[in-house]
Amino acid sequence: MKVGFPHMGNLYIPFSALLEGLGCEVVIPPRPTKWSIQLGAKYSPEFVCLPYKANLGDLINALKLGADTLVSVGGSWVCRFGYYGRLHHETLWDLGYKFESIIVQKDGVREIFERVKEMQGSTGKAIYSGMYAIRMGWSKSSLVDKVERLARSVRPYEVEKGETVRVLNEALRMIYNAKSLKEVRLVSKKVNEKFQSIKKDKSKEALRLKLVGETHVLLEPAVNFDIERRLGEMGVYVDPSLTVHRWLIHPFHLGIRGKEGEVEAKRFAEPYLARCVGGEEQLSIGYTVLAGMEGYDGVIQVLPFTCMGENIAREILPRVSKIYGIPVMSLSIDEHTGVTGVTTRLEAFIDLLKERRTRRLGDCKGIGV
Amino acid sequence: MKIGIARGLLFYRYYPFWTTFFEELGIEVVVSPETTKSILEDGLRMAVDEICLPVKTFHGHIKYLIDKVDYVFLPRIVSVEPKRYKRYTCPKFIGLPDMIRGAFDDLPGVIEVEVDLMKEPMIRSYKKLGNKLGYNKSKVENALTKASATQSTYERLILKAKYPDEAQVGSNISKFQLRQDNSNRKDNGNLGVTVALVSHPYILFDYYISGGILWKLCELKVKVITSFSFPRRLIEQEMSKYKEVSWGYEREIIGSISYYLRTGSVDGIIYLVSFGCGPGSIVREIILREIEGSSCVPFLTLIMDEHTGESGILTRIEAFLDTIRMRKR
Repeated sequence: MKVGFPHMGNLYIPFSALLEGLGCEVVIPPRPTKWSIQLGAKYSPEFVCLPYKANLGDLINALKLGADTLVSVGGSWVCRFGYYGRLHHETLWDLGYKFESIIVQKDGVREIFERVKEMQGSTGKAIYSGMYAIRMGWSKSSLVDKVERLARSVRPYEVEKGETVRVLNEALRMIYNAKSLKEVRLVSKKVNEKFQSIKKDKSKEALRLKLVGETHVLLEPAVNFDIERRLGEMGVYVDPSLTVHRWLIHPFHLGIRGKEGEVEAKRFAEPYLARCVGGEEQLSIGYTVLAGMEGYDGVIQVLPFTCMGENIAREILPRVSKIYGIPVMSLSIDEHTGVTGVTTRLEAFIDLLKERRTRRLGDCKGIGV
Repeated sequence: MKIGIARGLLFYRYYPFWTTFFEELGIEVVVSPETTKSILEDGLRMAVDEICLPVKTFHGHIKYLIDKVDYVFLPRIVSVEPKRYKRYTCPKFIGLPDMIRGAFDDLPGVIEVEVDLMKEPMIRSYKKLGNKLGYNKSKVENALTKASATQSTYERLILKAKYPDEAQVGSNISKFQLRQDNSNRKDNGNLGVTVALVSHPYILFDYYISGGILWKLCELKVKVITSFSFPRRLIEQEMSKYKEVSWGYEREIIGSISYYLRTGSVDGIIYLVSFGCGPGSIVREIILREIEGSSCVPFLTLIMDEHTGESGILTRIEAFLDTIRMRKR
């Protein structure tokens, strides 16, 4: 069984560890590119959002690389995303590809287990290998999260531009190649040293930005023009409201409580958006409020063109921005968005924020604080 | 006390209930007029540019009402079916009051009601609203009984393929008039061609958003059946194969199209969808799949946005009708 799945940031690392642990062969499609997205868009409904097109392109690439089983996330709630897996698979069948379809949803876990049992022969073996695979996936996912966090904190201060990215990619490769839990632990130690060895200029003053928005666009660097790296290399510390790890553990409601957790963010969002309307829009608003209270310099909201939930948030955010005195920029992305336009807007926004920070500091000195 | 109700979105479904309820409580109800160019332009200015046209227009209606009323009525309709179905409306209906609050700085008071049948029956939500507005229990209950009666009469009349303005129930609804006289909507003998016009009522019955397609079809002597008057029972029957579609109002659209395709009881189907309609993008993909495996009933999709011109629509429906007539010959 050769399994293929669409990309979302570094999700492929823990996910392939999980699937390999279950005894599947994994086919990882190349990272989404302009061409793969356009390939997906060719077979997509007219005004569906970008994640649909990007994921469809990935799946086609996976099939071309020989995948015979496709895994997608599904469900049926308010957001369109729940239907994407099913429609993708139907579209691909219509195109003449032959493959098995697995839609992971609440009751899909059972189906996966059944398949594993089939492969392993007995229930006992299946449970054992299943547990080990889940532990592998979990430890890799949390390590990826840690590495990304390290990169984020180091990047604005790096002396040699691009060094962090190099170290980050190396670390991700090591995590991907780790074959056992023991190896993952070893990598974890090595990674710390590697990031410490990056030359840093701590005298730089980095702006602090919160990044909020729709899950896929927020997490997939190929779609959001690698906004984290781009901003980091402009000397900005970026803190996204969601990471792949947190997205993975979200259904189990782990790590979402406490200060700065999702529950807290939702509580702050409620006066502005009383109900969840399908996606992460309550978090977008809540984290903007939190960013305002914690003295961040600004917030960037990224969303796919015609996204339902985030567009509702986008209409509410100016009000939040006014009340909490925090600048917010919304960046709407689809397959026609050009990199130059995005860079120009980011640069302009950063310039404004820098100006604003200097002025605020000046004000403080004036009062004599 | 004056309360303003915007003529947009779910207004076309629930206006008898809303107006009767408030009027029985002794509140003066102001309904915004038919969409005009200036209302639409106000809406375009106020709303986010990527949202669908009906929501933008709704903003325009609110803008019209702002300086004329003490309160605007903003319903939050989360779900209109009981919990076991797990069905929602569109996200934009769920976030509507919050969106309007975000867009307007100078809103008068807001009267908000949350209807979520997964949580509690609709009557209880409105009872809470009545009590919150400071009316005593018996008055609220009395108003609710009358409102529900009006609403069910309305729904019954709609099922008889009447249009919202013809289905006038009670004297207080006379405010509601669709544009133009409806003399040419009467069935005058054998019309030859029957067309199913499938869309949300807030597109169908809004002359400006739909480009007047309903009226144009009637002028062209075509018998029109709208998806709005499609029986609920048949929808559920048709939709048993699409259990996972959880948007209540979209089920109506897929269900009716699937029925017409299967039975071939109409000569053609016209599906109207506004650009940027979230569920619409998925629904259309499902419908296109449905068409492939069915008897051939001519099908036309018209995508509306604020740049759609009336003459463009007329050309397309005329061409579509020609196709139908050629096939029939």
